[in-house]
Amino acid sequence: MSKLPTLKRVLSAVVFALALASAAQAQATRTFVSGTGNDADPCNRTAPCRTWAGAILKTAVNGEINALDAGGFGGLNITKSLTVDGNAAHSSTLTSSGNGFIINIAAGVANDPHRSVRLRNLSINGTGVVGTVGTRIGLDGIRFLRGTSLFVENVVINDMSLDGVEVAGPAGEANAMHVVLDGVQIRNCNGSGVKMSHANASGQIVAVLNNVRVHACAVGAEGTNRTRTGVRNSGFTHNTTGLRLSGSDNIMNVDDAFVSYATTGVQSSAGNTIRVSDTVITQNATGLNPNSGTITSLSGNSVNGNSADGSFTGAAVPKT
Amino acid sequence: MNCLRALKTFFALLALTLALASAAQAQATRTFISGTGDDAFPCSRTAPCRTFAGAFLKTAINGEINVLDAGSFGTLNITKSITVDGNAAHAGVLTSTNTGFVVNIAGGNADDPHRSARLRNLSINGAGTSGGVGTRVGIDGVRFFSGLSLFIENVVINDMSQDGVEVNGSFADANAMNLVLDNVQIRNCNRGLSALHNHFSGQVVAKLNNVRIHACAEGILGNGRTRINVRDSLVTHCATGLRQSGGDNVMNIDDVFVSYATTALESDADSTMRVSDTVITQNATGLSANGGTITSLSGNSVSGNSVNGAFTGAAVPKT
Repeated sequence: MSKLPTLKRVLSAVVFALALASAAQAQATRTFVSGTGNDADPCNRTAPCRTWAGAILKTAVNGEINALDAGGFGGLNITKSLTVDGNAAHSSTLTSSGNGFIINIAAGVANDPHRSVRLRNLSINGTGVVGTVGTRIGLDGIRFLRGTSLFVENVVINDMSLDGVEVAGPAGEANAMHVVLDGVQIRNCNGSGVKMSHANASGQIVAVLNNVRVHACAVGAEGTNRTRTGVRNSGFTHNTTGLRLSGSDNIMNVDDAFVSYATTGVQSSAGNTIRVSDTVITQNATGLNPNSGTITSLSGNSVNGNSADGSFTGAAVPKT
Repeated sequence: MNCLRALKTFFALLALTLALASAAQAQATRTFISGTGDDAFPCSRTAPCRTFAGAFLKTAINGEINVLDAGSFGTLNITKSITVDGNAAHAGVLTSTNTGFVVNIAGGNADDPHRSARLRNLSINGAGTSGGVGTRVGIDGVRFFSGLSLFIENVVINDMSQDGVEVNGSFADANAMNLVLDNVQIRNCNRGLSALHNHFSGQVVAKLNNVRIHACAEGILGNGRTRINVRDSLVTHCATGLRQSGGDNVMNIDDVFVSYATTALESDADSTMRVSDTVITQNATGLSANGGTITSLSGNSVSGNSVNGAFTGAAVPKT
């Protein structure tokens, strides 16, 4: 009899301690999701959550969400610096009729000075579910609206009705937005594999695409306003247009790329410059279309076997 | 009362068994850690440990620590030859205000003649925790003080207040320190790789293959007594891309892409860079032979920088 109240006291103390612990872990630096998790859980290693959206609430600014196993973990609206890492699970995000990941980190948040997001080891899939099976209902795979830097590494994006990765700099912020895509595969999108633009007159998108493969999209990679893009060791095939600049104030440097099976391989426009080295442009209807803009050869290119090869603007710049 | 005595005996036996087990497995060649492990365990496949530091004690010289699942396994001070492999789990190391891995294998141990460490499949993260949230509180991702060779393969290092990888050769050790980075991603730090040997007769001999360094103040720095080869790599969004300083440095750069730097390549006095098949574009200054030498071995595109700069002397033709 005397033991029972003691037990009750102990239990209530345990419950209290757990409550405190869960309050303390409300913003853990590392959280976990699992195909068998539950968003009501604290997202720790032993009690993982079920979705990215559930886990982000319990992840500290600049923290990291890890996937413990394979599963579909839903879309995510990212409003603070963060790493999402699918680990070996290569976790899937089925976007349904929304966007896969939105990055929208406001400026001026006191404890988020870097505004930096890392997305790693993910499969983002916009394919239709019941009622729309076989169609592309996902919007963008990744949508970068506000922030300072975005790193996308070892990610596959498939079946988007809009773009694989869209970077749309805000009119209200004159910042440079840094984008690094490394080891990214984008296929089957109705819009562009990678589409970049900054709406602010003093803003700029500063991007690097390394080992990026875009297939079967309307455009492989494009800059539409205020962009600087480096493309290296990448492939763009089966797109209507391979690489394209339009709008104003864009420069693209292309080195060691392969562009094939496009209506137009590489296309510039008035006021915009594309520089190309060590690149193969073949089996396109038109290889090069400066389109009143500039496409400069930095030497080492093979433009051959297109219905119309087209030509570079001016003489090739020799290597040094 | 009987019950109590039996329980006591049981625990005494259990303790003895555990002690024996831990003594027997005290130095296994392969140990395991897991997010659900416990450092009181023997670090075996069925009873894994919880941290790198816990498993290190139970791993034989030149043995291997394997990670069974995703988790955060703490920092590690490496004082003997070893392999740390995150395996498929791509194991996380949250450094907090420390350095992720310190490699400090002193010479003179007859049982450890090779003094060699291997770090594989790891994610090393210096992001601030409670009180420092949103800032970079980790110091170095990996710090190589003493030892003969360090291999870093398939590793991601992020958010360091100092360097991704720092080689800081000991004053006390006149050896060559061999460093190999292969498939390494370093971002958001002060220096991606900083290499220096403090001993007058020492040297850091490094090879970087498929290394991508972004958003650091300096991408790659040879800071005295270094030989560094960089191949098939990227350095972008850094204030300075690749730099040599402090004298007695040679860097060979082949098939590298350097963009968005204030200065892409800089070689100070008594240092030589040799560059081939490399693209240097969209920097404020491309080449700055700042009292040193930057030689072209041909095949480079240095174009589209605000100031392209110039190589030292004529390009050496390919043969």
